[in-house]
Amino acid sequence: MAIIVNLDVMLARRKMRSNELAQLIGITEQNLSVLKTGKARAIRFATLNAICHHLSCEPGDILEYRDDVSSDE
Amino acid sequence: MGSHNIQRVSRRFRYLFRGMAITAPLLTLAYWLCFNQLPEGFRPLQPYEITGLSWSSAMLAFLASLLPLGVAIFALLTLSRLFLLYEKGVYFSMKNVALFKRLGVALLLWVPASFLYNSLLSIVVTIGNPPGERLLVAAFGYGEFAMLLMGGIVILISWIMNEGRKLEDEQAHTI
Repeated sequence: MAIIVNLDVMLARRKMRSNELAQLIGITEQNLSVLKTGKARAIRFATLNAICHHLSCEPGDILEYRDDVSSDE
Repeated sequence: MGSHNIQRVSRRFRYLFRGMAITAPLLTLAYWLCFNQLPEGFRPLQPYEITGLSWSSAMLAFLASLLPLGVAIFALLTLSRLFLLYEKGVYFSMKNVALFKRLGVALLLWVPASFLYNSLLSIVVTIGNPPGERLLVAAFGYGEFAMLLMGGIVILISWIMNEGRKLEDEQAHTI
């Protein structure tokens, strides 16, 4: 996937733990892990909205497009 | 209908199909062994009359009936496994798709099995007749046509189930 999820970077910047964020946005830790490791196929606007709200960031801070990364699509 | 109801009804269906798969061969064996004592309405609809079946002919008829019986047991066990998945709350997995496909194949297999059974049965029960009264029946009727149609429909449903499986997989990876 050419879309990189920088959620762990944002979590480190905000000094927040994964389980804390998972609880705040109402998803399981396993699902947050799937998102962090880039294994997710899609992200709901509601999830993105909640992440941005609780991390006080923009969607672009979490999602990044890198042209050099091979795409499996 | 909630998932609890699906699981409850699926369990009952699983028991029913498993029970049918176990009792079918026993009932078929009993049917042929007691054939001469059966009332008129219980005899197979054939274009010839079956009377005074000897023990060896009854056993051969039972062996012939193992063809469609085997296919029926295969279909019943497939249904039993499918309903076990529903009981566990698994509706759109690769296993479901494979079992649906297998069920479709079983329905299609019924056609040659039934055709062969009718032919073999006609030989078995008329082989003892004098020359000129022995029969070889080759029949393709409404039942066989209906099974072909149903088999095709079930295989088509298995393809649709596969699309459903892809959607569920997509859904599972959507956070």
